[in-house]
Amino acid sequence: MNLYEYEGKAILAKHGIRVPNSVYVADETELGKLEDMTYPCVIKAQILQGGRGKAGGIRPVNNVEEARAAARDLLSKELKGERLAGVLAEEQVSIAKELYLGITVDDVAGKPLLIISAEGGIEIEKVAEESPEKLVRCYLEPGGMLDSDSAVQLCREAGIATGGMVEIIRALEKAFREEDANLIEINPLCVLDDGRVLACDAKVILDDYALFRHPDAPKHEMLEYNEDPFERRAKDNEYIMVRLGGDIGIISVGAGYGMAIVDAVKAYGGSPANFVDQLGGTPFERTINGVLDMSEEDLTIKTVLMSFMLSASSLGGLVESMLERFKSRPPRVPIFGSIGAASAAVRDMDLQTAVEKLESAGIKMFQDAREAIKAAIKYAGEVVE
Amino acid sequence: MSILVDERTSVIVYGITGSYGGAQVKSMIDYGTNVLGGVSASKAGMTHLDRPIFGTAKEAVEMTNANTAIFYLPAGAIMGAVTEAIDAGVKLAFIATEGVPVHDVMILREKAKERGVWIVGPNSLGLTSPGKAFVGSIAPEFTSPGGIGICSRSGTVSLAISSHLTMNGIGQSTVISMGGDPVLGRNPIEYLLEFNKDDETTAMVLIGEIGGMKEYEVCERLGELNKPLIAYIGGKSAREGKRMGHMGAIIGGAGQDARSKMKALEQAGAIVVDTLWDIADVIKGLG
Repeated sequence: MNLYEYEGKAILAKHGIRVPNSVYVADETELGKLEDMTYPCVIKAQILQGGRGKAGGIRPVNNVEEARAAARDLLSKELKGERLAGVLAEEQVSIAKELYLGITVDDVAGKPLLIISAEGGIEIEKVAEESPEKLVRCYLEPGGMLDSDSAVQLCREAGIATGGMVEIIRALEKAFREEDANLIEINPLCVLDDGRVLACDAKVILDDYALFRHPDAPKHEMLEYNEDPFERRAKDNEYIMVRLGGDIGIISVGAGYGMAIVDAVKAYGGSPANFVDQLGGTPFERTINGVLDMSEEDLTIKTVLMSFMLSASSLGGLVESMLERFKSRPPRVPIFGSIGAASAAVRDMDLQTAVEKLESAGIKMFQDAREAIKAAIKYAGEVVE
Repeated sequence: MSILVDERTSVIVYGITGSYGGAQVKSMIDYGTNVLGGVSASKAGMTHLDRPIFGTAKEAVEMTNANTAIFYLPAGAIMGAVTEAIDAGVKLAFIATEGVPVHDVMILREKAKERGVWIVGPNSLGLTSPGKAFVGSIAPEFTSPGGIGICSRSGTVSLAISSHLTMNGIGQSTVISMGGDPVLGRNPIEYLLEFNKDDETTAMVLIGEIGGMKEYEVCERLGELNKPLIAYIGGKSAREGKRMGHMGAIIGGAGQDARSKMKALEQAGAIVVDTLWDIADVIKGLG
């Protein structure tokens, strides 16, 4: 779960990391909140993508009238194709120095990785590339807590002499652990002329798998205007669809197998229309219906390829869902298929019965997945539009 | 030989009475896997699938001498149960559960490594040593005994590749679904090093995918392997930032896409294939 800046800063503040004074304006009805600000200040568009400054999403304003105008203008449109979740009005600060501080999950070490640098700001990626030694890295013990001496040492290595940094580092580690974050990045962490140290931006990603123990965590999807309707429908029905633009619809079970099928369709000269994966616990009929609906409504799709390898989930359930669908709505395009099934999957229906049932429903079945893929590609290539 | 599971594998199961877990366990018992019992505080003293249910892992291990624990539990229960099983002295923990919080996985991984315990998963279909042991859901019908060691990030692909090799007359030493999550109990290179030590394994297959950096750890340490490594990386057609099913399969920063990984593996000396169904031909070519 990607958080907006205002949500990320609320988490930092909760754990004792100071942030600039601000008010959050969700929509036009809340413009009155801007009266509470001290001016001049900045109005910041709330989107999930980076690079909003360059896109005109950060506006300095001198008084409440200008603030209202800037906020109203930003709220009325989208930025980088993304609809705004609101605007954040924030005190204007006088910055002496920009630092970088972040913690992420390192998938190779299997530990949290803390990164700190005296050279924060928008050029951090350039710093990482050109002088990586300026980013000081330290693995953290899972479930543990960095001791003060180690934190002091890290600041020394990074060349940061700012007071209060040890407390900020420890507060960040605590926030990272207690909020079940995958990433918390403060860039820039600003040392002000008046000596305060404030988190002036916040990028926070929470672990979707841990939401069950954070019932109050923000819950939202990226607000996109130009989202594909079939991807949207998939999200609403708790499965994943990624549209790929081709003419061969794909129904598969399992994320890795789905990717393998998509890759093979492309490698053998075909053009895949989609990737699909039913998330754990989502019934088969949703993905089946999702891809078949797409093949009914999107007339550029010429055929559907279905391929399964099953050993745990029920083959009978899958086949019955397909037959039911074909009965209620005969497919517009021909379907090519292959199935492998064994073990717990064939408890309620054996493979031969499944293949016979699907063949009698008009699906052209193959023993080898590769042959089914090639047959679908050949068919798609021969269809005259 | 084989790695991690063989004829000596003896199993206790958390979540044995659940409908999904129970169906998998019944298949394992039918095959001949030595399933000694279940563990459940609330169902202690009962039996299921003709196996006793113990109240704690400690009691189960003391009574049965099981060396392996299987977890078909809700994600929130994994932390406590796996910790208990490690403390009770099992040597292998296979976590089937999808959706375990990454902070829990990091803590369990550290604890298990300290104790010399091997965690397979989470979000795994298990592991099968053809003709010897069937732990999880990689159906023995898809496999056949032989010399190819397979480790796959994807569960369904572990089925597809076993079946593809078996249809082509190529057997496997052990087939492993390592798990689809970003942080795993063990990394791909650790499985490959085990295969490298195994007498029976003649060549190894690594099934990676988009997302994360673990394949680069394999590149760095490829020199430690003296058997051929064939690699397939799934997700060449993925769109950046789009989650492709697995939690681990999102293209994030530089190098996490399929083509970069394929190139790096190739340069490090692995045989990299374009599709899953090229692997049998490559193995036949090894002679």
